[in-house]
Amino acid sequence: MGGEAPEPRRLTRALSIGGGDGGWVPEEMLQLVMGFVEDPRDREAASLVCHRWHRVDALSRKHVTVPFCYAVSPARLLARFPRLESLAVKGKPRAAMYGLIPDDWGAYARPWITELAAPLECLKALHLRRMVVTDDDLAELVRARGHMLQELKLDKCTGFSTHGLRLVARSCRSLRTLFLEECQIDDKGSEWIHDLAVCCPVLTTLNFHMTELEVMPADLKLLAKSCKSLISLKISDCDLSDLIEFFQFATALEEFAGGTFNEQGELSKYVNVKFPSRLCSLGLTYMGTNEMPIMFPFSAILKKLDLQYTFLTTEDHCQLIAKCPNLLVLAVRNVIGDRGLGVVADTCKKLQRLRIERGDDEGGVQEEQGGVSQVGLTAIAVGCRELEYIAAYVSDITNGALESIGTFCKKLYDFRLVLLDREERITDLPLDNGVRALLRGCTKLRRFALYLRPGGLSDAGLGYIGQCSGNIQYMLLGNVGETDDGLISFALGCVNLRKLELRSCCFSERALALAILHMPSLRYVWVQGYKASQTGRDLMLMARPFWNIEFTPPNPKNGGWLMEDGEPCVDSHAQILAYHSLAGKRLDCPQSVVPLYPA
Amino acid sequence: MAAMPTDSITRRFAVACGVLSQHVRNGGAPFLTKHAQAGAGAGAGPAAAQEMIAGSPQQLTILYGGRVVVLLDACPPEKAAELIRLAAAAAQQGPQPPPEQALVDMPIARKASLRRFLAKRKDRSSFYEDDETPEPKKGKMAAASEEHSSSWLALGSLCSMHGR
Repeated sequence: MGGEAPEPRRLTRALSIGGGDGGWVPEEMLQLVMGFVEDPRDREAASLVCHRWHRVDALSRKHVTVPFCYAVSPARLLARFPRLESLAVKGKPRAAMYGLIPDDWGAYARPWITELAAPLECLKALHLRRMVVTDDDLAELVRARGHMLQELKLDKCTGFSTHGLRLVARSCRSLRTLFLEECQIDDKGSEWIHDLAVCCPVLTTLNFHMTELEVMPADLKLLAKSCKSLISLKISDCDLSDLIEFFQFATALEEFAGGTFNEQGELSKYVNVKFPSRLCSLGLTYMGTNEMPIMFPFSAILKKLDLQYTFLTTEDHCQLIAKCPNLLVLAVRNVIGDRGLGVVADTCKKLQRLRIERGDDEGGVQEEQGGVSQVGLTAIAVGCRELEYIAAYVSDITNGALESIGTFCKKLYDFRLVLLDREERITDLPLDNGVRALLRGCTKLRRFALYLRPGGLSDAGLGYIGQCSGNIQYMLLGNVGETDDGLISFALGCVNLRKLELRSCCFSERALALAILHMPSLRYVWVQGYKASQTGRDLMLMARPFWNIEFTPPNPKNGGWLMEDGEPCVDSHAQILAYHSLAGKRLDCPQSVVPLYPA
Repeated sequence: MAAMPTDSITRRFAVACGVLSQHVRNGGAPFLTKHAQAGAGAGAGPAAAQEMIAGSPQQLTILYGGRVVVLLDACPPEKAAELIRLAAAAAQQGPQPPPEQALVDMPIARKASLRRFLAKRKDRSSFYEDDETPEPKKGKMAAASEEHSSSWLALGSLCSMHGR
């Protein structure tokens, strides 16, 4: 649907087309045309033309993503889009991935399944992210939709067990995709995999990576035998030497992750491991220097490589990546270092997605001290110009590096940078000019995250972000700005921003409220770390219809504790969550969440 | 450059829909009537809801000095208004500058999956380190691993030959 805005004369002619009940374009034709409009925003614009287009859009919409489960009620969604085939719902704030949101916070899947599973007669794909799903929910889901369900994605969800998975496996004969990555699942036995193998012959994708579920090699072998179309398998930890027979039968496999090298130095165990010939995506756990050569025979055809959970040194990264010229997706820890990124830049000319996670801060056995800095990022910017996604934890950074990204990475869609707090001195702060150059240069940017330290970005830089935000819809900003004025000037420029997360900033409640009112497209804002006022009433400046405000008070007693793995507990600071909602106020807040209402 | 066409298309599409919407509204009186009625209905709902909220007692939350006090008992709006007036009067009587709170630098949180991996890794690393502690053993192990590495490389090449 390109072309110029239609002239009135043409519209008149269109309006005069005969046929149909109202002398209008036939409904079937309109429905057909609407089917080709795929951008959700275009659909939204089309649905506002008139009641008839609204109805046609409603009946022909096949997929909807609910960006926040408290923004709309299931009943309202059903009334609006009764023929959905695919539904995605997001739950807890993203901060839950980092342990910042309490377990009992909410985001229960129950109302969505109870009210939608049966009435949505065309539904065959369900995707829930960061939600609480119980075995009873899964039972209800398969009771209503088991016969039609093709895709079930539970992404970082909690609350269910392998009993629920057994129900899914035994009830969903058409299941093609079962995605459970990073879910917390109560392990009550591995029979569910056996059930999948027996009952789901068309399965193509199974992912329970990072779930800590037990897995029996015999069940995987049976899965490979029974599911001839299995293309992608990502499992929890299972020794690679136990998977030799699985790989022999999984002839269609293209993607695999989760095999482990449980016995470092015992190479004889892994001599007979032979990967399927089509394998082009791989992630192996605990792979070290001695085990790395197992990948050499097919490294040249690899398109995706996940080294986040390996024991490789910087030198190992250099050696391995030099053999992978066709990589499209690469995920590593910052142990790769600037040298490793230099090899990536020289070798991986097709790279589209790069994630550099934060590794061991204490400089463990395999870690180099340097980490990733402007040197590596600049090399990547110059060498990998097809990049669409960059997420990097860095130890040092300069304006020049950000300028290079803006200059060369013209396809960048999503950019996330965290400046670690380990190094005392950073080469080049503030990053105002670099950020401006990046935002000006990367005109396709839709998501932007910048987490710095005090002094990392001035008020002027914050204003630049606002002015140059273009079509960015999501932002995460940490430790940016100096005063309230910076936040206001930022807000004045963000016309398209829909979701904002702020952390560890110095802004007052009043400034936060005013900023929120100034961003016309904003639907969701999460804040932790701000200047609390004496009365807290300044937050209410943002009160308005269809806008919910929720406050989580600080929990000082947690401040001194350490979490299980020695990380400091980080939920001891107050949080604000405010969002647009057609569903009204939340009815299931836990004790820790205080909804705020105008007096 | 590639970005421009897409954005232009999107913008033009939205503009076109807007224009079409206007024309439909001008041309079709029945639609306008329906829309007006629907609008009135939608407007009445929130207003009625607000009236109900205003009229009925509800939970009162007081935020003061960084602390939150939640009165679970139902509190009529009149009392809430009175409390606010009292607070305002107190503020006028003794205006004090709010104490400057030094911002505690919040630690950068780590993703849960990586946290678990690094925790496991420490266990394995310590085991490995223990093995390596004595010097003579270290040399021996290095030699052993060299041998293993060599044999593995050879086997690897054999596999690749077979592959061909």
